[in-house]
Amino acid sequence: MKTEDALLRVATATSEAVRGVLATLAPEAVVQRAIRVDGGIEASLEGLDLPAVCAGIAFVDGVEGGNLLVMPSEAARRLAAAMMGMDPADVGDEPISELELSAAGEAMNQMMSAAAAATGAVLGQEVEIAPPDTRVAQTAEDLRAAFPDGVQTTSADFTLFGHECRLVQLVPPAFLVALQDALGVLPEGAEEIDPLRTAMLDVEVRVWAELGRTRMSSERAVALPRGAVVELDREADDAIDLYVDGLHFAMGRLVVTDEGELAIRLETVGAGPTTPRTPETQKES
Amino acid sequence: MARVLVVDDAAFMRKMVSDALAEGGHEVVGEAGDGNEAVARYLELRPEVTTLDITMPEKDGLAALQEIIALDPGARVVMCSALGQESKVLESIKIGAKDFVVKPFQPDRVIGAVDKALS
Repeated sequence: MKTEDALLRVATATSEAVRGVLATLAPEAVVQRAIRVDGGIEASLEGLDLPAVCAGIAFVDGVEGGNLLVMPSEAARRLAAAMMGMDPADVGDEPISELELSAAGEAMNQMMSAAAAATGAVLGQEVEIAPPDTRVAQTAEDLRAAFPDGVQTTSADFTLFGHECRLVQLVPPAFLVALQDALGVLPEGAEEIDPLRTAMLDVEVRVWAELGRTRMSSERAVALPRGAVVELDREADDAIDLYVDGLHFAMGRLVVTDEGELAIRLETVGAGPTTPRTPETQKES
Repeated sequence: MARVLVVDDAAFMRKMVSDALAEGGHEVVGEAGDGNEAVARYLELRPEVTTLDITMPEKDGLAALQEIIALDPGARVVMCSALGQESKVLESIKIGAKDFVVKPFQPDRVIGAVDKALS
């Protein structure tokens, strides 16, 4: 899978979650439109009708990121009417009232919670959100002020009562890394450039960790008694080495998992000693 | 009929829950818009049941629930959560909430949860 496919996967998941909530609040009023990777907030703001109600949530635990939902005021008023048991078709062109804004904000809150849950499902971890920030944007500047700049974005367009709405997924670098890890995204161009490498990805390799080394004569080695202490060339708090089929691959810290098993938390990958060797063939320290 | 305190940061949700409970024969004795106000209103009104939203500014529903249960271990609280808040709902049940409803919900569900909390 490529990065763009991964971004589209999460955009589609969040869009479906939002549609699911809307289908409960305003049945048959929602039509899904395009889902795309925008690459930046400017592109995600193009073509939106104003004034609009916009709601934003930030992920506060699990992963950095957030969602923004923009809904033209008339669509928000019709949604509020549907939630209050009134006929959405009876809504006129008056400015949105405080109660209507509260209703639309609550609906958007529910949609954003569902979107965050869908994001967590794609990432394989729970995502906790902060209370949403809901406001009315009268101008393009108001709208831009509600959006953080400098992050990658995806957009999912849909119509609500015939009005164009947009769900924007904010994709900061940390979110992108988590997404790539969760979905096994290959480095850019890996498949096209090196088909052999792709074909070998399923080959099993031996992986081992090395705490340290020492040297001693064979006479002393065979005479080691039970209970002897053999000092190694590492301090207790030094990083240890990780080897993959004899090649030094990474360095990290020995940790104990919640299940009581030993594991290594990698600190550097690709740095450190490069001498290829195996436990069986090593002859020097 | 029970005396109910309704807590939600959205005025619309407070109205929706209050209307539903009134239809179900309950008396809404007060409302609160955040966790701090919820605790204060609980001490002031001593309702038989409290409906408590989870996601609120200042002090969220879980923190308010902990304070209310600490002040009154017999408090009957129904949590209102959005989709994707399963772990918070579980936590609230562990703390002592009697039931929960997931938004968006139908009025009957709120009435049913309050009735269950009273039983």
